Amino acid sequence: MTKEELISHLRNEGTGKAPHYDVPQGYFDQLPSRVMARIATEGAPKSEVSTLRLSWTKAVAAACLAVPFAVGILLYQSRTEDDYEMALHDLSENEYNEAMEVAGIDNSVIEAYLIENYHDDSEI
Amino acid sequence: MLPAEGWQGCPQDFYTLTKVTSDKELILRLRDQKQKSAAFEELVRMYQERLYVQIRNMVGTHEDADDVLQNTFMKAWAGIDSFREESQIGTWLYRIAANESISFLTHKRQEISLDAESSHLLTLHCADTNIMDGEELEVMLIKAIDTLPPKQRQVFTMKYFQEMKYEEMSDILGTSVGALKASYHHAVEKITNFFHLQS
Repeated sequence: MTKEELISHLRNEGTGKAPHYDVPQGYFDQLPSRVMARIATEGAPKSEVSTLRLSWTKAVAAACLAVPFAVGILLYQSRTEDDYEMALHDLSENEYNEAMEVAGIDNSVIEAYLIENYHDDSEI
Repeated sequence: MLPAEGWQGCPQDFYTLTKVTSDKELILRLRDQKQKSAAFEELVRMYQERLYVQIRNMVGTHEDADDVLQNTFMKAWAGIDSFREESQIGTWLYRIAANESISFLTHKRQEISLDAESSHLLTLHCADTNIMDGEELEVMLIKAIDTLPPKQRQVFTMKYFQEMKYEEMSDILGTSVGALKASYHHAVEKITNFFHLQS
């Protein structure tokens, strides 16, 4: 067969004789026991399925950690909001008290304060 | 050194040599924890030579074929409990061997530059293999196959040496028939170019 004939044969999806491979004497007699010995000593490698299961386990563990963390953040936020509302409430009370204090001041004192600090130019 | 016995790579041989009934019996024994080890050893004995030829077609040297074959059986042992009998056990083993061979060659290509690897493989392959009584054309073909990317090499050797149908390859490699045909013809084009470069 020439080179061109072989190329044409390949292009037509022809088949060829498989090579004969040499192996050491007794190789196939010993291989099964060698494989079993490896299994006994090394154990089985992790299969893709077990890897997949492992990654699912990790995902579940991450979810378990994430949920309390998220709840904690929400609680913290709501607590902060409560504090803020309480602060607002406190502020309102102060303002109220201040107003009450102002209300209790004598009118003459207020009038003197206004004369001293406030000038209405429109009257001039 | 003795020649690898038996199987000449014919897919019909691959399936008919293994009786379906004995496969079923073997699977039942593999499911039984008490008999699992003995049954698996029998499975290794049954398929070792056929898988060896397939792997050797891919990786070239006996030492590498031995490594990949052992790893194939280790993976099979790890996955035997999840084998769902959707395919024949031979096809399943063949698929593991194909993946292991491709993985081996991919890692090897990462370790060694393409040119260095090719010449390394060629030297070993040609020295280690008694191909067609050393006929020049066959040696050149083996050299050309060694330069193919792993997946193309897989498809080409399955088609050319093992006379496998695309449908069977599709079951084993999990690739569509169309993609396999394209892969085969890409491989042939590369082999043709290799031949032209050599001349």
